[in-house]
Order: sequence, then structure tokens, then C-alpha cells
Amino acid sequence: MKGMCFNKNASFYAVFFAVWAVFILVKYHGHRFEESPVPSAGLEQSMGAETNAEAPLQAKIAELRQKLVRATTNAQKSMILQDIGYAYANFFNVTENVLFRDSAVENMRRASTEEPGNGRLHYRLGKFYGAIGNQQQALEQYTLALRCDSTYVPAFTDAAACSYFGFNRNDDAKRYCNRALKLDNQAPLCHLILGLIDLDAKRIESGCENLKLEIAADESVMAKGNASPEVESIRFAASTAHYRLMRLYCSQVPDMALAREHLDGYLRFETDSTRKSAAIEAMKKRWGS
Amino acid sequence: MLLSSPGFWIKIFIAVQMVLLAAEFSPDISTNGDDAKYLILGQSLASGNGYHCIYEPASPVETQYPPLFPAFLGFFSLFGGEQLVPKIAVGIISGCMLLLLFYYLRSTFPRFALPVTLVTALSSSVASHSTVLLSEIPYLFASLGALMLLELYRRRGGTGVIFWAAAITAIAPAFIRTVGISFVAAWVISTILDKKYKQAAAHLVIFISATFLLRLTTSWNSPYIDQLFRRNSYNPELGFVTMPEMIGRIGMNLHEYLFGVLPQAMLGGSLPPNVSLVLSFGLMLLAGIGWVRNFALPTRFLSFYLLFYGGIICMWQTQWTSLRFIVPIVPFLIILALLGLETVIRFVLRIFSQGKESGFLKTGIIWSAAAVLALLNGCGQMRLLNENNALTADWINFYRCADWVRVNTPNNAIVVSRKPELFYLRAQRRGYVYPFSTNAEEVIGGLNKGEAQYCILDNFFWTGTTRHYLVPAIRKHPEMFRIVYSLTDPETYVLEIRK
Repeated sequence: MKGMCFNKNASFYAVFFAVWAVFILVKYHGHRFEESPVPSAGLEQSMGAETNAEAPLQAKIAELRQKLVRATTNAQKSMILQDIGYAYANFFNVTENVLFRDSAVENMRRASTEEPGNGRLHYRLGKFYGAIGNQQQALEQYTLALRCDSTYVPAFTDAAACSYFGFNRNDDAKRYCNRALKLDNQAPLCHLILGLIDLDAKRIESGCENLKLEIAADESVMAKGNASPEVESIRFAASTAHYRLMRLYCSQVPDMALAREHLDGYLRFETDSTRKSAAIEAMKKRWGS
Repeated sequence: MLLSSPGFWIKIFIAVQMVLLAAEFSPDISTNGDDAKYLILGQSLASGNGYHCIYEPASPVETQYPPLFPAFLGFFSLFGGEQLVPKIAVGIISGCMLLLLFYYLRSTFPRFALPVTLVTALSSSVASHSTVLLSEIPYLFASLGALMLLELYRRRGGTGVIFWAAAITAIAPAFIRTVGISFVAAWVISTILDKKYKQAAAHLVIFISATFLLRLTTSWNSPYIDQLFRRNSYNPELGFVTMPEMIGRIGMNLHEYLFGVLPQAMLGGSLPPNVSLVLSFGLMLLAGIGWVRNFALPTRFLSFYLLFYGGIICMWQTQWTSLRFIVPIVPFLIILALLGLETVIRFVLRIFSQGKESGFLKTGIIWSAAAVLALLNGCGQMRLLNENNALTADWINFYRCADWVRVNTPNNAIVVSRKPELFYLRAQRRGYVYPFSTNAEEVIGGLNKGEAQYCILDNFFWTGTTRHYLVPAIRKHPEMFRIVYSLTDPETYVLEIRK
């Protein structure tokens, strides 16, 4: 019983614990959990006030959802889901709200699973992935599109562009380009990519040849006036081909007349005024006014 | 003279423990969530709002946690300093617990009193739970208080103050943590075996009456039964366990406790895993021997208690298996391990010394074992002190979202988040958790039903529920949400919910 008695030490412990408590209280005096600073982890962005810009989207989505309920076949469902995806994608472009981006991907994915044999659905999803900077997923979808339809030229050209510009996989890009050109010898981008691959490998002559073929193909397609959905890639391909040729004729194969000719060509296709001015400046610097 | 006095040494041990606790002390609330809830419940009691979850919009009555620990925190929160004074109180309770342990052992296992107190004073698992607002240390304190009263009653007998004090105090563990029903069960059985029938009956009647009163004033529903039999509370769609699955779960938990949690709890977690595993296994073997031997001693309560306690924690869902459940029994495991060691020594000495026992040798071995355990736990404490306790990026972003909500939203805004208790303390806004359902409409329905105005799209590393349940629902109805604040690395958003 004696062992269980600690009365005589009670005052010692009371004082000891009180000192401990006072020490902690003094050390953290005024500390408030809700106001304690937290370090910075990532970038922050506070959005402005809400606008009515999303009202049309809500109406469109509601309409498409109703259509989806009424759809009976997988083909119909996949088309509607893709439209919903496009609607979200458009609003992502306007608002930069990543929720819309994710929803666009989600709906386009659902569209492609609804009709897995439809290569175009994979291709369009790939295009959207490419647009939001996810080249890996984009290439995957182009590959799936080609598995569904091995004659689908846009999937070949975009897979080639993705392989070359996104991943520096020159052999893959070359293979895709050659397959696309076999199906359509005027397929945009293909000659450009082949030309750039040649130039990378210091095969100047063959590179020039391919770039010229690209320009010819682009001019021909533009002249037919039936390339509205691909006009951006044609502009890009033609302007890049002209620019690279201009640079070649300014440096490795000096020829002022040809350089001038390709500068004019470049200026026709390029839409960015800063880049245009830079090209003119480069020309002036090389050949004088 | 002074050095040979146990009273002197216990003062040193407590002083060392409190110095270490002061070094490890953090004034903030830890991120485990339970302490935030305990504190809020305490604040609710202290402010006269009853035992309610005041962080939820409807302030429902609390049905899960027993009220004693929140009441303790609530009492100390009356002294101001929000969580600071309650945290100090838990630290002091830890010191008092050590004192109780020492005096309890002096009357039951006098030869183990100092060694066990030393190991517990340096125990890193006990220390890490003494600077947070969790109920483990107060639970251990209440258990030891009841055991000391039981020992007093066992010696004095009668039906006086000690009789009633013991019977009443012994229900405290069950009203601090629900697992304390194992304490009640062991109390009843051990007192019956000691032929203290009046004590058993009085305790049982008090426990049943107190439980009845509590349920009457709160609710008859307890989520524990549901949680016990669910396959996974974070994935309710998986349903409930079958009997073979429950047996499998017990096996898995036993394995995890024996080979994962106990080595850390007993050896401080500073040894290489393999060494720790072997040592811990040896220690548990000794504890097992001590546990069996203890059934024949007047302290048999401990053996029954650990049996029931271990049974309950092994039935719990495996994702919740953790050090927390072991902390309240760490000193008891050390006692049984030393008792087992003593039994082995006695057995070996009887064989090799023809029945002559060497008290000096026995004490020397027990003290050496305790010194090794104390040293290992001391290293564990050093590791704790040097550990980087800074918030991880996911929590930083969660708190920064809470700060944004506090500054930029109306006071009555309701916010859905994965950790509404912590969010409430940080953002001062009420809220609730989104439904754990893969049915997007059900999740959206849950957000609408609670009239939430904002929602935190977290990117917690430790749980995937937001990605699994909330994100698909938002992706299905993005037009319902508008990003009002966003953070990167990892991406975390405050979303406004459109009506």
C-alpha cells in the first residue's frame, strides 16, 4: 500500500507540469491554426466574376443529352457523345476551364468506346489530345484509328507529324508518310516531314526535292478549294517548306532569286506578322535591301 | 541514497519524457482528421451546443465517438488558445500516465516498475501520440487509473469509496474509445474469477446504465457495427464481409500487427527492418509466455484485457490497421514481455543451477533487456525529432484552398470536401463529405441535397476517393461547376456549385 502513495510528491509534479505548460504556452502564444502560414506548393489562380458566356453551352449540352436519351443505335450515340465532347472542347477553348477540357475528353472517349470500330472517332479524339498538348495519347488514338481503318490518310499524316514533331521518331514518321503518300500523293505534311527528315540527315538535295513536292501538293490542294478542314495544316506545311527552302538558298545553296521566290511564298502562307517581319529581316541581312 | 530511491528515478524519467515532448510539440492540428473532429465535438460541448457535429450544416448528433475525450478537450478549450491548451492537457496527461504506470507497477510487479516506466517514457510510439489531440494517451491514463483502483480495492476489499471509485473509473476507457468495451469485459471476467462478485455486478450495472443514458441523450445508432462488417467503408458498394472473409481479415490484421506495427511500436522503428522483425518476434514470443503465465497471477485482468482488445482490433478493416491501436497497450505488452523473460530465466536457471535461483542475475537480465528497449526507443525519439514534419504539397494546397474560402466566401457558405472537420477549423466554414458512390447522379444528388455552394477538388496523395467518386461526377456535369480558385502541383481546385 505504501508503494501506491504518491501524495508527498504531488506538489513536485504539479509544479513541474505547470512549468511545462507555461513554457509551451509562452512559446506558442498567439498561435492560431487557421492563420498559421502554409508554404507555397504550386501556382495559384483566382478566377474573376462569373459571366454568362457558358449559358449557350448549358443549353446545347441539355439538348444533346436529350438526343442521347432518344438515340437507339450505337452509331447515333457515339455521334451525339462526340458532339457533346466538341461542345465542351469549344468552351474549353473560350474559357480555359479545365473541367470542360476533361469533360470533352471523357465524352469523346465514351463516343469511341460506344463504336470501337469507328476509326474517325479515335482520330478526332487524337486531334483533341494533340490540341491540348497530350502527344502521347494523341499518337495512341491515331494508331487505334489506323487499326480500324488502314486507308485513313489524315490519321497517317497526323501520326507522322506527332512522331516527328512530338517524339523525334524519324523512322516511324517516315513510315507513316510513305503509307499516306501511297494512298494520296498530295497528302499534306507528308513531303514536308520527309524533307525535314532528309535535311536533318544532311541530305540537302533530296530534302529540297521533298519540300518542293510539299509546296506543289499544297498549292494544288488549295487551288482545288476543297481543303477547308485541313487548311491550317496546309498553310503550316507550305509556309514551313517555303521558309526552310528560303533559309537553304540563303546559306547552304546560295541563290538570291530562289531565296526571294520562297520568301514570297512564305509570306503568302504565313499569317503571323511577327514571323513575317523576322523572315524579311533575315533576307535583308543576307542579301541587303 | 538518492540514486537508490525509485521516487528519484521516476522524476528523472518524467522530466526526460516531458523535455522530449516539448521538443516534439507542434501547436497545429495534425492531418489525420480524428483530432480535428474530437476538438470540434469538444468545442460543441463547451459552447453548450450539446454533443453535435457542428462542422456539418445540419449539426447532427455525434454517434460514433464516445464523449469523454471530447468533453476533456472541451473543458480545456474553455481556457482559450483554441487547440493549444487542450494539446498541452494531453501532454500533461501523458506525464501523469507515466506516474500512474509506475505506482501501479510498484504494487503489482515491483521488480518491473522502473524498467517498464523507463521504456514507456522513451517510447517513440507513446510520445508521438502525446502531442496530438488523439484519445490513445487519455485512454491509457484512464485504464491505468482504473487498474490502480482495482488493485487498491483488491487489497482493501469492502464496498466503500474505493469499491465504487474502481467500478465507476473502469467504465472510463469505454467512454473514451469504443474498443474500451474490451476493458469492461476483462474487468467483469477477472473480478468474477477473483470472486469479487459485487464489484463485477456494480461495474456492469454502472456501465449499462451509463451507456443507456448516453444513447438516450444522443442516438441509438452506432456506425461501428456497420464499419466492422463492411468490406471497405471507402467503397460501400463492395458490401459486407462473409464469415470466411472475416477470418481472413483477422489473419491479415494479425500478420500486419505482428510483423509491421508491433516492431515499430515496441522498438521505436529505428532498426533495419529484418533485425527489427527478429527482435520484435522474440519480444512477442516472450510477451506470449508472460501472457499465459499472467493468467495464474492476481493481475490476470491484463491477460483477459489484451485478449479481447487484440480480438477487436484484428476484426477491424485492414486499411485502418495502425500504430494508433497498439499505443494504449504498449506498457502492458512490455510488462508481459518482461514477465515472459523472467519466466524463461527462471526455467533456465532451474535446469542449470539445480533449482537455485539467482535474483541478481535475473534482475540484471531484465534490466539489460529494458535498457536495450529504452535505447532503441530513444533512437526512435531522436528520429522523430529530426523527422521532417512539414506538410506535403497535397495538404498545403488543401489548406490554401481553405484559406481562400475563408477570405472570399460568405460566412454561411457550405463546402464539400474530403476532410470537412479540418476544413471547418481552417476555413471556418461548415461542410460535409461527398457520397462515396460511383453513381455520378448520386454524388451530384448528395451535393445538391446538402445545399453545398462550394466543393474542394483535392488531389490527396493518401486517398483516391476524390478521384474515384467526385471527379467522374464533375466530369459528367461540368456545367454545374465553375472554378473559382485553382492551384497547381498538385492540381487542386475550389469549385463553385451552380444552382
